[in-house]
Amino acid sequence: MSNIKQINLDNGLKIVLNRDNKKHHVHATIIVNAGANNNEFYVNNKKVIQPYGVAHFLEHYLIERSIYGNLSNIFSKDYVNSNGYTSNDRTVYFIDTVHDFKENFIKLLNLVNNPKFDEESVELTKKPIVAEINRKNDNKNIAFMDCVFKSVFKTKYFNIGLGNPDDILNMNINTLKDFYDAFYRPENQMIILTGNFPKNIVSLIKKEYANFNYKKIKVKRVPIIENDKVIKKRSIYSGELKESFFNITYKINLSKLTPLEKNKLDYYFGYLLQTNFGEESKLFNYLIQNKLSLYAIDYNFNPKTVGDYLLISFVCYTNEFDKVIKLINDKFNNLEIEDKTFTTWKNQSIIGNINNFEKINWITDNFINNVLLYNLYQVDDVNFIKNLNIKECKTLLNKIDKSNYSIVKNIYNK
Amino acid sequence: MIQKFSTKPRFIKVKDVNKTIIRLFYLLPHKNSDVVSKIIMKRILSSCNSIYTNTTDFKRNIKDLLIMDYDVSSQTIGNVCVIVFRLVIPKSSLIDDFSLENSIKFFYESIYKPFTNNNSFDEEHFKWEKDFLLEREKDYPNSINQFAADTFEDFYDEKRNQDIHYDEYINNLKTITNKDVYKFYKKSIINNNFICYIYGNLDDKKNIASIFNKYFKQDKKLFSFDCNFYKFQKLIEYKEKKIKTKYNQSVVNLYYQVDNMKEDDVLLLTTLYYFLASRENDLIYEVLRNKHNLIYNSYVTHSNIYASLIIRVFFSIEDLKTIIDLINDTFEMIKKEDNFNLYKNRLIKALEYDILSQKDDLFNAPNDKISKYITNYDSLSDKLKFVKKLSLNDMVKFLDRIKLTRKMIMVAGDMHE
Repeated sequence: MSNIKQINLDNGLKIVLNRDNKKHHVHATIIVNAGANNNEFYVNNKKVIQPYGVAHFLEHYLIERSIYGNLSNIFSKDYVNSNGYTSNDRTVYFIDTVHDFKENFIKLLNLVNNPKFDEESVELTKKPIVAEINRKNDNKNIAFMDCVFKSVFKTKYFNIGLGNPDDILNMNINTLKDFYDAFYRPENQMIILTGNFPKNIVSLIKKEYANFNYKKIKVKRVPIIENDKVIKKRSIYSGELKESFFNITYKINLSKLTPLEKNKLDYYFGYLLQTNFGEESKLFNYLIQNKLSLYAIDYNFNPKTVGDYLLISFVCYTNEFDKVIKLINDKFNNLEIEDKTFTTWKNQSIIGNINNFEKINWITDNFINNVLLYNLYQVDDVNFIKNLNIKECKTLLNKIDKSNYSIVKNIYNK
Repeated sequence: MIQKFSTKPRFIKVKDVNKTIIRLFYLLPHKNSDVVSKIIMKRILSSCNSIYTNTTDFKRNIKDLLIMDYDVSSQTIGNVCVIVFRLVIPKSSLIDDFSLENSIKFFYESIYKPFTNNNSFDEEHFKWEKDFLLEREKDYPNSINQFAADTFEDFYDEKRNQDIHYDEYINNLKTITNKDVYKFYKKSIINNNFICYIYGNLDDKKNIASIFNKYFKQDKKLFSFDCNFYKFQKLIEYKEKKIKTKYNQSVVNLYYQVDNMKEDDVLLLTTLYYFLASRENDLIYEVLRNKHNLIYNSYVTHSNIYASLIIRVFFSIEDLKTIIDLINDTFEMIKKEDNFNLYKNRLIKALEYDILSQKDDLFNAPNDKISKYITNYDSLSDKLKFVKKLSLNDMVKFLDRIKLTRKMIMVAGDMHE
């Protein structure tokens, strides 16, 4: 059902193609496999330690100070949608256009692979980044979530992407160059193309990359070593949030599961969380009937965090902390699996999947997510969904440890 | 303007899709005093009915029926309130266990057979929804954007001519009764007509039509409604204000009004907004960020309904004068012939590409057609036609009628700047 092709070039660059010549759009993405987490690395066996925020600063710099000028601006003027973002493990640049794809795509390739660095431009890029950090810090929930992730991970995980204003102001051209030379290399990049792009696109990419120069250095990543247990079992948050609620986060080590098992677990938890904690669950009904909460339980499945740890978190607004925490924890450790609800969920997933296959971007996104999250090179088609079953769901649940959790309470006294 | 609407379901076939959407539109005159009733009614009708009396059973039944989506939404356009019920279902042959009849029956029951007692909604459910809405407001304002928008609105719309204001909303929420909400339900749904669109996959059109007509019956073939979509506001006297906030960034808010706005000016105001804020020209951002590096982001919005334009930028206080001067210059830039032609041609090209781009989403065309029929919404093609004919003279005359009537500066707490 999907038309996805994956090509690996000799220089290490990976290309993923999903062509549909009935569409008007082409969507092109370049993923650089380095982000906020990569602030420490070795170059020619010498350790480089940088403050947080370099990857994001570099993303701004490359877009705003490209060889063409401010490419965000240029693309906009040329009716091309474009953007970039930096997460903990990657930096992503994309364009989406219905016209002159080739010309704009070459600009995108040059943005990533052919920068020009100068001191003055680096200084000029700082101001909007500092404004962005200040803007983000005006969100009151950030500090609470920071407290949650510090209770779960030894490794710094949350809210590190932008860095802090002082570090940004102290960065210089060499900080950016060091990071760029280490990570912006073809073997660290993946190009994804979706829609109506030219048939000979691979030769065009090869030709362009042959003109780019990369510094001849040996780069080694610093491995992240994370504790198996959460850092703090229970914490109280004291900030300015005016509601009483708690967050309970389960830290689950998935390293013993195969890529396919991890992907399937994602689907099974979709079912389990919805039927055990969603608005159609007995637990939700119990909380409402007994006036323990006015809100639905907010549950979250976060498969790629630090290393191979899956996080499943629940947020519940209540004043009856201990009672509700016990209810959620008991339920999470005794998840109900019923034939009827499982069949209904599977039928709904089949319908959803068939409708998703009408969207070319969904197919590509699904493939890329599987690659990046699980190192699994497949699109989850309708047969994949049809083969999911209760027996397998139970087997996979038995393979994971659900006893490792951290609770953060926000107690608000009127 | 009195408009006539047919009550017969309208069908639009969309090729190569596997789902069908049914949307029912109920029109009624908008009143700020109805806002809270409307919000509570929407929540009640999307979480229970007379058969599935609690949220859990109701939501479980939606899943069991293999309904892809069911929701109740609303939109206020000037003096008109549109309440929309939407059911999304898979095409009948997609999966064996799906029952078209049961899904449409459920849709009908959720709208016309609510969970009631003694001419009111169920008291417990009503109370729960009301408490939920009050509880949700405890953390207000939860961001600098919300704070800036609401505080500024209090300043430019002191007389509450436009949207309901936060304090009024909270007071109404506290005092509203179950009877008030039920009365609103009877007025807006039970004793009202609806416009119906059924679109998407229509392989089973005959069957869909016959089941739909079995449950949803309307006495009249046609009904009339006063589609008064505009509430143009008279010019207010210029005022400015400076306040101190606890946030990390300073904000400047500017409220512009169009003097003596007429319906014919609507696309002119839209075009001006496009010049200032849409990606191909984006003049405010272009000047303040790209050329002068003074801000991280800017926010421009316009209201054809109230004949207004708002510019909000987040900035450092020492740049205030420069920023205000540059915004004023931006309006003047548009009046120069070369600039105007450049901005206009860029906009024409952008609209042409947007029209092309819309074709990739198969539901765009029917959605446009529906909006045009009900709210007389200007499609991209309408806008393109207008911009192509627009002259510099028209724009200059229009710009001369744009008046800055409110300026509010929100100064950041001094710790971070």
